[in-house]
Amino acid sequence: MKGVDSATGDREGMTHKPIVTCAGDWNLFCTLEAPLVAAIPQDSCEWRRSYGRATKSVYLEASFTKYNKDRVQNELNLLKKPIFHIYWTDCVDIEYYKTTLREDIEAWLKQLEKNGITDWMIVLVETYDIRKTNKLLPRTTVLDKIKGDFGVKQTEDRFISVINPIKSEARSAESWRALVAKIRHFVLVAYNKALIKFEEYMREQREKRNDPDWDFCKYFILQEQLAFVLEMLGLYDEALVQYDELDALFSQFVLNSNVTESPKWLDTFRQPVTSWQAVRLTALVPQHLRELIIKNKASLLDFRSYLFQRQSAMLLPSSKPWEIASRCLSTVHNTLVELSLLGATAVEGAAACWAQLACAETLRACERLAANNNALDMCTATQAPLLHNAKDKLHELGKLCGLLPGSPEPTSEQLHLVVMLSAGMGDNDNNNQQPTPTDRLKEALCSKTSFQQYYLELAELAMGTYKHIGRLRFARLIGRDLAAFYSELGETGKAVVFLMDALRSYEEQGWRDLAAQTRLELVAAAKKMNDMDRYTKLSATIASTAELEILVRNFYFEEMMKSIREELCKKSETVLTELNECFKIVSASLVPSERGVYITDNKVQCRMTVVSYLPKDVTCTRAAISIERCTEDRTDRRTPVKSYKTDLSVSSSVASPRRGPAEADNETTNLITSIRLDDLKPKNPLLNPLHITSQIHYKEDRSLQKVTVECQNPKVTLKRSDSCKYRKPSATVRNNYENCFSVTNITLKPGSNDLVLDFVATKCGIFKLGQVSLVIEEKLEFLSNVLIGTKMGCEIVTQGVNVFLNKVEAKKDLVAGLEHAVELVVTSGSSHIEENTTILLKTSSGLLTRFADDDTAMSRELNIKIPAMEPFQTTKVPLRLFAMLQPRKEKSIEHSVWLTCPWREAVTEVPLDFTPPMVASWRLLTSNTRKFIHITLKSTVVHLVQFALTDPKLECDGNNNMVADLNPKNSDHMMVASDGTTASFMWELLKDPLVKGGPMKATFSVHYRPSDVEGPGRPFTCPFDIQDYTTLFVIRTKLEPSKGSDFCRASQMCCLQLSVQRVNETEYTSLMYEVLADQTMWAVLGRTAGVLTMECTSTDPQNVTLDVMPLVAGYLPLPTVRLSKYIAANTKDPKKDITAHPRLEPFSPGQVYHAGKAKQVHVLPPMPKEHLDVIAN
Amino acid sequence: MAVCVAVIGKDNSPLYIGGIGNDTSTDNELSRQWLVHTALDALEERLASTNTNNTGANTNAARTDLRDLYLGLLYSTDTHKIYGYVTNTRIKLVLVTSSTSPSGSNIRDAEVRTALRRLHALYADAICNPFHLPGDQITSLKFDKQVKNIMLNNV
Repeated sequence: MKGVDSATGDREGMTHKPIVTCAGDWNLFCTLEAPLVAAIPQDSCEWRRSYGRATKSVYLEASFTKYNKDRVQNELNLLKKPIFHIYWTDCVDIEYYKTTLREDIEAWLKQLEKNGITDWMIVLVETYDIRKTNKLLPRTTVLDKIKGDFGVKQTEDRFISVINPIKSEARSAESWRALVAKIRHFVLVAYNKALIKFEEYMREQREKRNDPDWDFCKYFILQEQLAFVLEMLGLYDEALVQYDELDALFSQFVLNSNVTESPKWLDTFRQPVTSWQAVRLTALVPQHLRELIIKNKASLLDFRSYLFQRQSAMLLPSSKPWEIASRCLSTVHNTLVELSLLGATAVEGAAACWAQLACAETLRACERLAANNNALDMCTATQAPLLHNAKDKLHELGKLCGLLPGSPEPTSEQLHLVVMLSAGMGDNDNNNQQPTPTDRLKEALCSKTSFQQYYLELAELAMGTYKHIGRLRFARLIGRDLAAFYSELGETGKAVVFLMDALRSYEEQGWRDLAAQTRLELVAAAKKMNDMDRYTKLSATIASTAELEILVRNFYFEEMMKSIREELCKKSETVLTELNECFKIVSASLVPSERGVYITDNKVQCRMTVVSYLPKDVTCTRAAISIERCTEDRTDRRTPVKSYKTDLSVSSSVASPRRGPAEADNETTNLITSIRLDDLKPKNPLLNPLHITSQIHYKEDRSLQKVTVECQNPKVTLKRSDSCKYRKPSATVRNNYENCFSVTNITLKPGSNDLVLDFVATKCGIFKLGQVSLVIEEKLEFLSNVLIGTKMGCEIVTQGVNVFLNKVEAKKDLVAGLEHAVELVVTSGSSHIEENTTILLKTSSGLLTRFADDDTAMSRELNIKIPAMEPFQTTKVPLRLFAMLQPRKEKSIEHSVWLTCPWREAVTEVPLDFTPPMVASWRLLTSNTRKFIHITLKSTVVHLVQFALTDPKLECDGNNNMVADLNPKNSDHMMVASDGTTASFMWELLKDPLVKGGPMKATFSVHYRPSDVEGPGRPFTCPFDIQDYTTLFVIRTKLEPSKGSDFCRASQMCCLQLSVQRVNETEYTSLMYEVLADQTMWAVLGRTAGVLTMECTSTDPQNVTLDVMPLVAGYLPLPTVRLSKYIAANTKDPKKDITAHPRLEPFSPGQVYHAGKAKQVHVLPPMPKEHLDVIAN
Repeated sequence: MAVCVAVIGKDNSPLYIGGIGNDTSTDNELSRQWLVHTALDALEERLASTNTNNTGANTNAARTDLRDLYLGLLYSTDTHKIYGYVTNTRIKLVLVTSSTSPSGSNIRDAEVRTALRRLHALYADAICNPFHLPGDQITSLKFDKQVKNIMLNNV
């Protein structure tokens, strides 16, 4: 037992050694003991164990005692029991052996046998004798004799001889090594046997644990022996298993005691706790605690301390300080729970003391170990919770002892408690320079300042360590504790820093309850700091927090109102804060203007829906949306919106000045006028449909390889949402509210509020909505930038003066040659028009104008005076327009009106289209050589007009031609109208029929006036040219019956006599005639066409006779004959392709007169049959 | 059995927190929320370590690790033990037991595992509701009732 107490720190772990007894020559052994003790631990030995347990390599130590036959009894105490027995002798004399030694050995063995001990060895120590080795055949030695006397087959190797290393060291090495190895081997064999036996016993004991008389403490000591032996053999992990088993057994008993009847032995641990010494993490066995356990006097804390220290001791050699640390925490937690379960009485705070010390001691041990093992990183992860716990426990103690800042001076009871607690901690053998955790805790409990110092040290360290290992939430939790501490300490500024940090992180991750709680703490801090701005803002936020109770919210609402009224009103400026925490802007939309566009100096309205989270009605002094003007500025803002096109198709109303789509520029199209802010949120990607398609894949041989289902857009769906999406909205910069939508003095109710904000723009341009501001109770201003970036805005324009030229009768076309009533419409838009403003109106040539109300002459220029006008007024100036008729035949006549306005540099052109009132057409008619001119007038005007016509006149020039008027003289009622009524006139051209007339110009003129208007008519003229009108040839046709017949009969050949007579000079002599007979009436036999050559000199008719046959009976018109100029082929000049073939050219109408054109011949029906027969006969 | 159960979304914001038990000055719903909130640290630590294992050589072992969604005891305090569970879509389930109550102190790991698996099933049922937007807080009364049943261990 010498190892248990004597060994101090330098020999870690080993507090026990296997006991080996020595019998025989004790003096001899004493000379060998020292080298033997030193030699045994020098090498490891393999320990083979039964039951298939793993073979371990073990370093052994041994302590030797003198064999004492009284102590050989087979006791169960593994530690006190000698494990191995050696008999030592140095006898070389066989005689001596035979006489005395043999008996002695026999007696020794018998005693061992009696006790069932088989682990023994007999060692014969020899002195090296050089002579002996020289002998060829050694004589029987004493060892042989002993072997012969005592040895059986199994024990043959238990006899060993060794050369005394003291006397001849060099020669003895080999035998000595063999001896040491044997000893190690046999000791282990002995332990194997002993442990198997012991474990069996232990199990037996454990099975009895439900017996009423069973005692855990006894069992604990029993099993601990096994742990000791394993520890002794260096098998720390196996030893730890033994302690863990005991730990679990104990825990289970305690937990069960809560639900079932608790065993008697458990009462031991219910005894009052009187000592809460710090655990000491050394390899030493804390004997005083062990004694207490043995004596059944250990309190729960004592027992737990002991167990934890032993467990740590088993872990210390394996260099896993983090394991110790994590075990410490669970031990502390378990112990505290067990303490409450068992109901052991203790001084209040004792448990906290113990826990704090355990944590602090463990931390110290870890630090020490980690420094040695470079395991600092592994350690810090487990140190942080320990520091946290130590800090918490210290706080608990501080609270108990009245050491917290802000608490009143400790009462005498609290002082007494400090003394009690310090006493319970026990004294520390402080041989170190550094103060132990016990010292520090005692010191901390002594005064407020030292407590505060220690507490802050632990807290800061815990927070730092948590941050280092990335446990930011834990760090913030400690930050909150620190904030509370600092706040009590009066250093509210420090507290606010911690709280703000925590608040931000809670808000970021959507822990609204926690954020609300933190705000409550912050508001208290603000109150303490007398930071009224912050206090008011936080009160507002708290009042708007739905997670909190309505009473709390109402309280802070009142606080907010109070502090606004009492504190903030002293300030000149408003206090700015974030809007989104108290209000939510749901939507905003610009109210469309009545005029379609937003016009300067007019009210623009914006409707905004705001949800108030405040619990009560609140007066909003001003709600406003700032306005940002887009920078680019168009120079010519005052141009009329409809700049160049005058809309004549729309009747005299003011045309709506809507901008054409082509005109809309980019900036305005990008602006939106209405927005719901919920729509701006990114769409939840999980709500998008997955585009999943099935695909069939074939192998090369066209057989099916696989069918797959594929998602086409996996990236869209699987896109990781940015975890850092939270951005603290900070609207602390106040925009310029000189130009803003605003409304004042409204009441914002809890919930949704509809506000209508007004803005009167003085400048035009493109405006975007900017910051939203709600001023509550005059001094607290909530700002939100939520609308910025929405591109919400409007374009405000100055609507310029518009000038239109409108027809009075919109449905009627403009007709040239008639006066039309039009009006000049001036709309003032958004501007004023001053007095004496004139518009210069110019017309194109042929277009005349005048004012409608005075009968001044028409002119091409007018200065129109515009009266003074207010905005959005319309002035109409009636005018008359007259387009002169041009003697041209055109379907429409284009004119323009140019308007020059003083407010525009450019001239506005108004194009006008006029239609002529009527159109004249003429025909030349021929009767033999006489010529007549037929003129027809008709109207093409779209709307109905009627003209009365007077004084028709045809004037011809050239060749002194005269015309004879064939028209009725009193033709007053001649009318032409656009409904299709036409008027015709006829003149005969008086000329010598035999004189060839040259080209002739004729002009038809007539006076017209609209039938509903009295007064002189206006002239209408129509000039035309008459050419090639002289009759050159006269064709006569005559049908004669065939010879022998008197009449023409159907189906009977007749003779068509054709004569062409030249009546005037002409160069065309070669003519072609064609008989164009109606094939239903006439059949022409033979040639139907032929060429005639007229003689130049003769006017005799050329005659041609053709055979024709009428096909039907009745009055048939004669076949017509067409005469054309025949131009023979030019054979001489083959190059000219055109003349290679003969060709025909027609005569002008009037050059050929067909005398028989209208002639008819009576054809009788065919002859009766008889007659035919006669002919046939 | 449990005093608090929380479902926490991918972005670490709470989707559901349900608690039962008597509220005292030191042990109330808010204090439990703090426990759950700090448990996220430990939970993320676990997840990070499984991820790094994954890249290591023993991928097979890590895979079996991954398949087990139950993360075990995250941490404990004097009064509470906090257990974690994470679904494949990184929805975190946290269960808090009280060490001071008789049913909470004697709880076995397997029981907690079963409870959290059941909770996972309930969560899956709850978000199958076509009107539930993934990522929103779970407001289903049925879910709440069933979770409370799990907490009372009378399923």
